[in-house]
Amino acid sequence: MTGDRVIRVLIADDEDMIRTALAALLRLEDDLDVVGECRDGETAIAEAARLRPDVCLLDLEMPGLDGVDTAARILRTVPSRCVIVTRHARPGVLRRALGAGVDGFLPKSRPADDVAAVIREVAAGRRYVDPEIAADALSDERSPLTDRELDVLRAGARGETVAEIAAALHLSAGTVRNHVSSVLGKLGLASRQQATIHARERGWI
Amino acid sequence: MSTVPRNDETAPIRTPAATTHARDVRVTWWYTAGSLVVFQLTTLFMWLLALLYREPPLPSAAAIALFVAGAAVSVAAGVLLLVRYRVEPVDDAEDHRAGVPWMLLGASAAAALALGVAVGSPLLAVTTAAYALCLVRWQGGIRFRLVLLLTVLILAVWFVEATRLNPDAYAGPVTSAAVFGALLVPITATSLWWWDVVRELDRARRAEGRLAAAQERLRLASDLHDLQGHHLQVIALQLELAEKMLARDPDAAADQVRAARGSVDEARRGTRDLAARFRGVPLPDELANAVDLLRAAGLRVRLDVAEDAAEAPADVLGPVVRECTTNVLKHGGGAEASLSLLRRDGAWVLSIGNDVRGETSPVGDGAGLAGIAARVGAIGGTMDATASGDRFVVTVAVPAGVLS
Repeated sequence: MTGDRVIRVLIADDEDMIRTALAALLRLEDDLDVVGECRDGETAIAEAARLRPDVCLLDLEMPGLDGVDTAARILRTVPSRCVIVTRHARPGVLRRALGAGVDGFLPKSRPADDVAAVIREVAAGRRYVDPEIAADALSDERSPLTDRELDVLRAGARGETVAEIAAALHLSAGTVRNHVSSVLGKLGLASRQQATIHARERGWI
Repeated sequence: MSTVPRNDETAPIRTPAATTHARDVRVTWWYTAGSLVVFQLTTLFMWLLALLYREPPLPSAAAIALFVAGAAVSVAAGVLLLVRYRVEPVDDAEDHRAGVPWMLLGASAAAALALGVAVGSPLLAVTTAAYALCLVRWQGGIRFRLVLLLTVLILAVWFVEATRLNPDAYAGPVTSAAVFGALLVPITATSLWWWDVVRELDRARRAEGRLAAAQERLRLASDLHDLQGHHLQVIALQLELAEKMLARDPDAAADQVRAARGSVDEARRGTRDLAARFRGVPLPDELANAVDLLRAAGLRVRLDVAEDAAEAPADVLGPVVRECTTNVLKHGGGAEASLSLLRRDGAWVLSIGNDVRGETSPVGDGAGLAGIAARVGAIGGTMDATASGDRFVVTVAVPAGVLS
């Protein structure tokens, strides 16, 4: 490509087969150099601080910190650019990634040539959002719930009791119960657990 | 941009208007509970009249105070019992408070005693206590027997009171008060029974919805299995062939490997299309999602959507929204964008503009806008992409009322 400068890349992916294959394929490109590989977000943050790569290629679904959280922390300390790759972009994740300052987002199913091209794009200061991922993000179901109702679901997401939710949100138990019954009414569901799962699957909480 | 035409069988599933049903059920509850409270208040009011307007001697202030206090406690306990009756579980284990609410029943019994003493009528005491007993969700079979027993008891007390204890009073207002009191129990029982029926029906409706979803999931699983099975078999054959040809004809082997990669891509696209069956949101939601994304990317966004925009043809305009939003996102660096979907002269006009002229990106930039122009043209619409200064605007107009 440009020939004058090699783009230094850090890859983080917990799936060894995919990470090593992708790294091998990217190393075949003359203008790319994979300077580091790691298996989780925490290591990626440490490696990014040490190696200061031009581009970090982060898997979205990693144990512990996910790709977006990792990118947000890397971008706070290192002048790198971050690209997220994912097998399945869950609803709301593209919005979160863009908000965190991620510059590239593409599905794992893209051939390594495309990944290399996106790395070059991003390294040159442009942004790349894969059309498939954008299309998915646009057809996310809108949440019919109010912010307060989402707060209640979020505060109770780990199975907290109504009293605990009320204490956490400084509301009365009755108000929490009202919010819950309004949520169940809107979603046509029978229990708070179902509503929590429903909301989480759709990326509302 | 893959825009897959959907045939009827794979049309997106629309969820039924669950919220309307839920509202209807809620209204039924308020109607039921409200009528019971009003009926009890009316009954107590009749007894108060009977107390105040009976033959001299007039009741003492203490008796009136006792009556009012008893009435207040009884009504409050009744309302709490009703609330409890409602929140009792459909199938939410968390809110389940098993057992009988002895506290509330005790308070009701005390209030009943106070009322009875204040008016000097055992009948009022019995009907008030019986009313509270009817507001408890007893286990199966008990309720019917209880109501029967209470009705017999009330009639007996009434008979004794009217003939032996206090025959003189049973002339004017007391008789109507007694009738109301005696009716309270059967009316409460039937109303709550009616509410239970409504709730059961509502539960059945939900179960039906879940069943439909489960069936759809099964169908999807079988479709997925067929699709993946087919492609995996093809890929296996292509790779086997490549392996055998590797020594003899490396070029042909490479062809086979490339073909296998093509098959993988095809399988992936098929899987995606299957999943797309469950997606598809109304156009206004899609635009709102686009605004969320662009704002998250740091742009200032203006959105202008007609109120009835949900009627615009989403399968033609949706891809335009997707393509343009992706372009705006991709080229980055822009500071503002505007999206509008309005009805003008019998046509839906979608226009998406931003302040950065799009340059073609090296990756995946298919025949996006050109493909859209063809689809829009096919249903008699027009597409127009203009760049003036550093503003780039895509405008699509399709005749209103077309179903492509």
